[in-house]
Amino acid sequence: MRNKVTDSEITALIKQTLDGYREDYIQGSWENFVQKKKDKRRKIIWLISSGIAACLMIGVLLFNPNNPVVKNDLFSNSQQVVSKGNPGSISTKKDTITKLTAGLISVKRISSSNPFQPSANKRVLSGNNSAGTTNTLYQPTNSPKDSVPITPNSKKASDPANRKTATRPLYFSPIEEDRVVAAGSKRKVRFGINFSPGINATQSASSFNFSGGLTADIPVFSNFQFSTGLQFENQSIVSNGPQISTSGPANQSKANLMNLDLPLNLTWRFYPGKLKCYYLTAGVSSLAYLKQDYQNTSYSQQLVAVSSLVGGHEIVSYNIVNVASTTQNLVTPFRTFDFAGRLNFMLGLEQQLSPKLFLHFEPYLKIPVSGLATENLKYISSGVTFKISF
Amino acid sequence: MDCVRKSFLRLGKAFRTTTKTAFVAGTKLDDLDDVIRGCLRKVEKSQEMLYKKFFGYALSVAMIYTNQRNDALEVVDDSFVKVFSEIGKYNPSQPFEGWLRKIVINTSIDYFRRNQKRNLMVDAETQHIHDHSPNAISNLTALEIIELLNRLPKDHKKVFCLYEVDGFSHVEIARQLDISESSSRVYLTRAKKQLRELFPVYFNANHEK
Repeated sequence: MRNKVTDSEITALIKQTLDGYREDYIQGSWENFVQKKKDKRRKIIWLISSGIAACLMIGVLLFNPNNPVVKNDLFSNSQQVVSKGNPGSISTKKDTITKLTAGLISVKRISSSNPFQPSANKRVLSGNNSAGTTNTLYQPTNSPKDSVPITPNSKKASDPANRKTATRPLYFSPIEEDRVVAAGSKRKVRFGINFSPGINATQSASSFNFSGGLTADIPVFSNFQFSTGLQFENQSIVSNGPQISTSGPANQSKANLMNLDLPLNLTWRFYPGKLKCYYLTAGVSSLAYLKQDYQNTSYSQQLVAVSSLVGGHEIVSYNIVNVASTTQNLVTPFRTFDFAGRLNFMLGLEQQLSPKLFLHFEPYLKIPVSGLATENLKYISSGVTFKISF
Repeated sequence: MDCVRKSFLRLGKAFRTTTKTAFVAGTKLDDLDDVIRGCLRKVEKSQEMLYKKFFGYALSVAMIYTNQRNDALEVVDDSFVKVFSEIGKYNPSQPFEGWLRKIVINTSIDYFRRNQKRNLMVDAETQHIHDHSPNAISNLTALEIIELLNRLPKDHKKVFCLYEVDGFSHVEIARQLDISESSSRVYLTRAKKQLRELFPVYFNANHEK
């Protein structure tokens, strides 16, 4: 009974006190709230955009049509039709070079009424599931002056654009040949791995940075491609403040950043060639910060008394000493997100290493649109990207 | 005769109360209605006004249900995000404070659930609220009580506050906290027992200072 009385007394007291309890508005809360909302929205946008990029990459990887591969080997003057599946159910079309007279190469597309018509040149390429035909088609003739016969690298001359032409004379000069081949090599998405050392420059100092990651180049239309990917960047940005006195060192701010970079670039291949290709890339980058470590070192001068005994007398002299004080600020990961915070400009050179492997050199320049990261840093990054794409 | 006199007195009191309520409604509720209408149209100025007007109230509710002031501030912000997105569901015939209180309580419970793992790691000693705001002196008793409540295990505290302060039933508490009704009753009994033990010890210690 006594317990119940005590309980009700305590409860009544708590209830009564808490009923009248009201906190005051804390100055700046609304501004914090608005900032928090913005950050959250940015985070969502970043997640969505990175999700889309990831989906695109996975989608292209998974759903890349693995249709029968048609290979024309013009150098060996033969055509091979390779197909997966049951040979009996294959319905195939052959690209046949029908005319080759006096330097004129005509490409004609004809449908075979019976693709499995016995042929002396037919050969099985890979077990039961593959069937192939080899037709001798090329008969060397006199080439016109300044024109070059199609070389082994001209495999891609079976490009659909060429195939559709019923009868088209093709004269290949060396440069034209390069361009035709490169145009023919335009294909599905190309993935790459890159590494970029570089320099971050502020108004007063510069420092080293490096980044690396994965890229995906998606062809959009003739000579244009959309480039995206995910980069990991490790940057240090140093900036020196104004010098307070002539004898003392200047204040220094140092930021160590680790961030993810999601670039959205458009590439224009202005000189596509067979072995070499030059291109220009421009676009924007969105940055999400994994680590932000800011160190501000400020110097002040202090008078320090130094006492010494000279002839039994204490002499006090004062020396000016530079005293450094450092403050450190660590920001939690993913606290800041800069959506389209940086402009990217690149001039690229692509060198073919093997039919499916390319080496790229890309001198780049990255300019911030506005202040980056939590402390609104303004720095320009430049360097060279080394990329291998396949 | 006495009965008639009492009836007249009751009538007069009722009239005075009605007039007072109407006056209050006429001056304050219309403003609030305008603000809420602005919030419905997503006008930032209206949202700011609503936020600033009810921030203190929301914080005081959140302080009861969370153990640290920073957590309370986060709960308040999360609550206002919900308020602004769900303001269309608010029924103007009901008091706004009641609706807001419900949102803050639900948000606190969600927050508690989300951070349950982290909360387990927090040392009991760090759970004390150290408030140095100027308002702390005027709210000393309330803050002392919040500090006392913070000494209870979290589930016990939640059940106690929901049942005793906000008048929830055990069925509602069980649904809210995802526990059984019997657990809710047990937690309440234990909370009261602990408060009984803590109350004299804590307040004697505090008032001796």
